[in-house]
Amino acid sequence: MLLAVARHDGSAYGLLVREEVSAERGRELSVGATYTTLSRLETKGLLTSRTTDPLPVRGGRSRREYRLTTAGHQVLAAERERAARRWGSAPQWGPA
Amino acid sequence: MSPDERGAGRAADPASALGPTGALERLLTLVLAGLVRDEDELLGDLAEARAGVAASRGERAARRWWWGQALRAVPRLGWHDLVHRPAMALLGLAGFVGWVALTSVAYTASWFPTVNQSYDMAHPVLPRLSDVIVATTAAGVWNLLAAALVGAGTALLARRARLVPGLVSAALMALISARHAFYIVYGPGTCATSPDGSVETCSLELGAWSDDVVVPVLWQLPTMMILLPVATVLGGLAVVARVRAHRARGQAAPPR
Repeated sequence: MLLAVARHDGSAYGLLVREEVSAERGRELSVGATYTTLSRLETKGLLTSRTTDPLPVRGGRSRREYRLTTAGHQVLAAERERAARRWGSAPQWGPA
Repeated sequence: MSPDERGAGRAADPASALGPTGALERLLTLVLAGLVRDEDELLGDLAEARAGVAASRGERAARRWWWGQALRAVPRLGWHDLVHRPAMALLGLAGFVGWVALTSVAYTASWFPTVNQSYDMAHPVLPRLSDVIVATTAAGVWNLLAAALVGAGTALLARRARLVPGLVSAALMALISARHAFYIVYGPGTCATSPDGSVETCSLELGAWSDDVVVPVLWQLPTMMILLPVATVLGGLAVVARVRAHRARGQAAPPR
């Protein structure tokens, strides 16, 4: 979820994040699950958000656009480092 | 939904694909609005995605998609705020205490039409059936009205996710309604005996907490266990609808 927000930093909103995560996981994430997860990440201080002006495509409703905080960037960087360390020592299987 | 579909959604006629069309959809929209901190975010996402599905797969598929997503969101949203915002649970608990206080009026206030009669063994005075019906109906309606008031009150106090505290109150009401017959009791109460052991008077009680439950649980379960939560949620929904209408009027008004 954080990675999806990072890819569209500043312009990431629920629907866009949901599509990214759904494509990544290979199954559809529900709109409600996306909403609650983004809300929780914001409460934890990993994301910050702002609302846009009302948009006609949303029936006159605004969007809430998310951006990673410094803490969010740190979590992502730490996760990336952990994954690299985990896979770095593994041998190559199959055609490289 | 692909980016193409999203683009198609932007081009689609908003009036035909964005908003809820039927009364049930409007009701579900109201429920969703009452469960979130920012209804624009969730309802806007649902509307935008629905327009995309409508553009690619047709309005019927879009409606089906919207219903699926909205129904799946309701329990998740309610649970999310209960777990992550303890103040909501506390407010719900306070609402339940308020409801207990309100319902106790039915059994203590002299103006309330509960039936209390005394009789002796030789001349039992049984209440008329019409009295039983009046007492039962009055106590039941008062319980439901108190539940609706609690739903509205907690929704007013919760500044966002207004329906969530009412869910706690409603759950506790449903729970206690399975344990106690608080809405009709019809049977002999306690008897007073004289020092020589003979029965002097016995009381007959209707409409109060008592162990002499004549109305079977089978009657009580489908009525109060269902109707109390429904009344609580309806009270909360009335507040949510009013707040939304007020906000819509504020947005529609031209800036001074």
